[in-house]
Amino acid sequence: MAEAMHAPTSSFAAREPALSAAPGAYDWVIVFLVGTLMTLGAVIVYSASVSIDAPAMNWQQWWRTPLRQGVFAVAAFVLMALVARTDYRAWAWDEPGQGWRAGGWALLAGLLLIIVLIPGVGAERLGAQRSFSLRLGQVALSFQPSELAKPALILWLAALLTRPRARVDDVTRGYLPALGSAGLLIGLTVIEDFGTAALMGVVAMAMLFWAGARWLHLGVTALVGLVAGLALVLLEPYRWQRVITFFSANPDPQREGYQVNQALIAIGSGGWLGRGLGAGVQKYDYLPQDNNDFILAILCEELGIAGGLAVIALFLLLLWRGWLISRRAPDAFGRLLAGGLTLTICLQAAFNIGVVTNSIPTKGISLPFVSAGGSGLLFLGVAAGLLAAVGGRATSRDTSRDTSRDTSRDTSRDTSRDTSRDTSRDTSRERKRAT
Amino acid sequence: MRMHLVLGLVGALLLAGAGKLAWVEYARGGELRAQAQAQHTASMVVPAQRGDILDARGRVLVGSVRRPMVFADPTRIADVRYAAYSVAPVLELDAAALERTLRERGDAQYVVIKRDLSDDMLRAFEQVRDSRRLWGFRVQNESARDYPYGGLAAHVVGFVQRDTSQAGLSGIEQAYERVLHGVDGRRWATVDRQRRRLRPLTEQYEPPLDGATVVLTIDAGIQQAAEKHLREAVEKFSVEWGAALVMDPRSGEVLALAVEPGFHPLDTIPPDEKLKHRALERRRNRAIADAFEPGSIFKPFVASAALDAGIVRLDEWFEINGPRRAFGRRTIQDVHPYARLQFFEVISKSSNIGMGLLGQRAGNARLSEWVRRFGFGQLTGIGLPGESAGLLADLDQWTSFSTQSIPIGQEISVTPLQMLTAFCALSNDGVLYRPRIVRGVVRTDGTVVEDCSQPVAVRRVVRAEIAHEFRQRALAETVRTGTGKGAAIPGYQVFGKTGTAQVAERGRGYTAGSYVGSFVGGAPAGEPRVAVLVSLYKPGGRAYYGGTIAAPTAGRIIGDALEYLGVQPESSAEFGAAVPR
Repeated sequence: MAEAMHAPTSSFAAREPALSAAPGAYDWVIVFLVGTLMTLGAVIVYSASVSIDAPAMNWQQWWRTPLRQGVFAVAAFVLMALVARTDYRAWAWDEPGQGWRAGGWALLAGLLLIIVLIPGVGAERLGAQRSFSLRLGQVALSFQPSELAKPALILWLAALLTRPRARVDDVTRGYLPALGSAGLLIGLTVIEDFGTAALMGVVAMAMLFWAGARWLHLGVTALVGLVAGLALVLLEPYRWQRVITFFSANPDPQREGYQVNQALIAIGSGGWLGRGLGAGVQKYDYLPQDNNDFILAILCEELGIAGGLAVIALFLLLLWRGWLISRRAPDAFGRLLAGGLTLTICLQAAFNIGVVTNSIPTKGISLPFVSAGGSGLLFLGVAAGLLAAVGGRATSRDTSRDTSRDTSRDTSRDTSRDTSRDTSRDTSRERKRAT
Repeated sequence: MRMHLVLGLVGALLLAGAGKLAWVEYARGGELRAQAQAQHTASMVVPAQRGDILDARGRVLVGSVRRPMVFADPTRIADVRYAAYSVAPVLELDAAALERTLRERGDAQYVVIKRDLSDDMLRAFEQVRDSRRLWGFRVQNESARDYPYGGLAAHVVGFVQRDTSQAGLSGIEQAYERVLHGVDGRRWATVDRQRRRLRPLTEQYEPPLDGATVVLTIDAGIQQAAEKHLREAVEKFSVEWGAALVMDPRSGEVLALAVEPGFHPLDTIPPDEKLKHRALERRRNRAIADAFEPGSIFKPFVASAALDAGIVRLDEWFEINGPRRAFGRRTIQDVHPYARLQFFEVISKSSNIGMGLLGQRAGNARLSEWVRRFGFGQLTGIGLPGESAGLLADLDQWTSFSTQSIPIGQEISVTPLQMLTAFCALSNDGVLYRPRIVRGVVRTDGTVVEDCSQPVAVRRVVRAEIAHEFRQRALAETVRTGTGKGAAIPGYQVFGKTGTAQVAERGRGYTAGSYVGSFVGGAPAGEPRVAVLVSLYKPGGRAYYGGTIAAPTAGRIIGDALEYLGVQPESSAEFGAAVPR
């Protein structure tokens, strides 16, 4: 990694204007930011998982101890680094017949989402989320298909919307196929995890928006989506309860308002600089989901508002970097992929912060890279790796302006730009050959 | 443009989150910190060490020791059956009952399993617990009462509740509860949601103030003698219960107070109704709580008061014409027939007719005044819980019967303590002292909380020379030649009075064959050092006269007490010459 950090090719800051992507080049800033967040997560989750009953470490049963997060963080980091060195264009739909590359992942995610519904296969967790349980010897791993569905959807939409002769502004040939396939995956996800599905819905809409979908189409879709979402909220009593709790003036801090109240106590009692790492008290059964959805509250209690702001700053940096990667991506697929991945990660973080600070109703959404999670962390590592891989192919200039037309709306308005699309496509292909 | 819009929005959301975070701290930080502190902090009682109870010479009658105790936290026991059957044998408990208890109190975190483990039992228990990893059981040291003299003076010191409160339930333990208990301390700790301790908050520690030491007037040496001789008499004469009291007539200090059959303060009270009742009866301090008609041992008070009032002389002749004599509608009987007796002989030979004649001469008003002057019908104020004032009717309810009843100790109920307290006034210079059983209260650092070592004179009841004369001529004569010969001991002139009262039971009057045999007395007659009362209630055998069963017991107690106190034997000439025949 150290060598990569010094490789000028991996950086946007490279002075060379050439498209000099070396094999295995990646964006080290993303890797660094994500690595920092993962490290912080492993430390805070370790702190939040302590119990006065269980020993802090038991090497024979590490997966049941607070160190589990650390092990998964290392694995996720390695996975991210490996994926970052691959060529993201392996999943692109550059020529007819290549749609299965990205579509395969979406298909696999959809299949797993269906299989997990079969009684006896999926294990229900917390009443809402379904997951697979995998036993490797003594180590029990659980895996939620929705975690795979998130990156698979982005990969698939990015490929689909940038395929040859894609016309997103055309309802039947462009918009509906994309919307339909995304809707199918989101619909399957909503069964097991409402929060993730809502996030996926927003991301899918944004990607359609970026790809040049018409305002009218998006507006109608958003309306339908909102109605469907509202219906789902009303159908599940516990979701409706969360909304009521959020909007009620004085929720009972001992009952429905308990979790959010305890989160606020954790945040507020830490002060600006925190009680000190490990010195928090709220993690001792006061705050439910302390190492998971509400890890930021524990972090604030122990590291203070300063620590919380630092985490948000890291996500802002990630947003900025992902944005830059997207803008400087050599092709439309990379641009859309990077944008989608950045949006997913940062929007999820924003959602989570909103929940923890009682700004939006409680929803089961974790803080990316920081919250406790096994397989979820691995998939996040893959997503970050893809983003870094796109970054490794970045040009030194902003490509979004001149290439935005190849996927976006009014191609008819300026025909002269059509040629530029072709050239950019050609150059990317040349570059591929060159590598 | 479109991407700028969306990602810019996300950036704004993240910034808003940061703003909210800062706002929560800025606007509500103090309030939330207060909430956090309130829910994270719990205080725990640091029990004060209970004070000791010492005898008059500083010997520890009741102390405190730390004893190991096993308690369970059923929420941390996974397999209740396995746990119960693992520890029950080493703790000598019933495994099935233990399992039931653990199940019934499954959500409690503190269930006492066994108190006061022996060292061997503790070692065995810890071995089982550690090898079978039963972490739901824990050992705690708790303070327990310790009785180095094996429950000596149990009725005086009383007993405590056998839990962490150690609350005194009778005797000194109850009366001096506040003093002995001390002031519990308090410590604070950060706790988890289940109120389990995470770390102590040392800066808030309030140390306990240990209980003070109560020093009694009881002398373990005399108490041991009293208990020993009383126990022998109770067994020998199959007595329902007996009481023995020893006091220092010069100060009113109670040197010994024994009730038999007694109890050990560590005895457990059985749950069975009948056994429980009997156990509680044994715990009652009958020497201060039970009042009964005293009979002839009451005669000295009326007699000495009459001498003091000048209506009779010791050598005055009384025409008895016994053994029977009618007073109005009432007939009084003597045990032996006498024609005529001098007044001191009326006492020494215990003539009821003679006392009846005296009563006639005194009249009810004077009798009532004399009896009250000696403190009867009133609490002595010894300061022990459960004291009875006895029964003494108001003068306006007295009848013509009272005139002969009161002088022979009927129509009045007195407690053994009242009896001996009054008798002490005849054993000193005629001054009634308030009986005292506590000398003082001292803190562990030596500061004196309460000093009650000084005698408290209530009133003079008879003139000093009357007390001397009456003691030397009437009461000593009783032991020398009269009914109290059984109390005589070599080397000292014992004085005293015997009494055999029929037991009057509520609603049934006098019951045939039910007696209280008593002896009240002291020694040496010249300058008395001890006054003793022995009352034996309802002897079961053929012997029931106070002179037969109580006097020898009293004599032995007096002998042991004088020897223990190092009182020099009187010269034979002294007590031979003092009393004219």
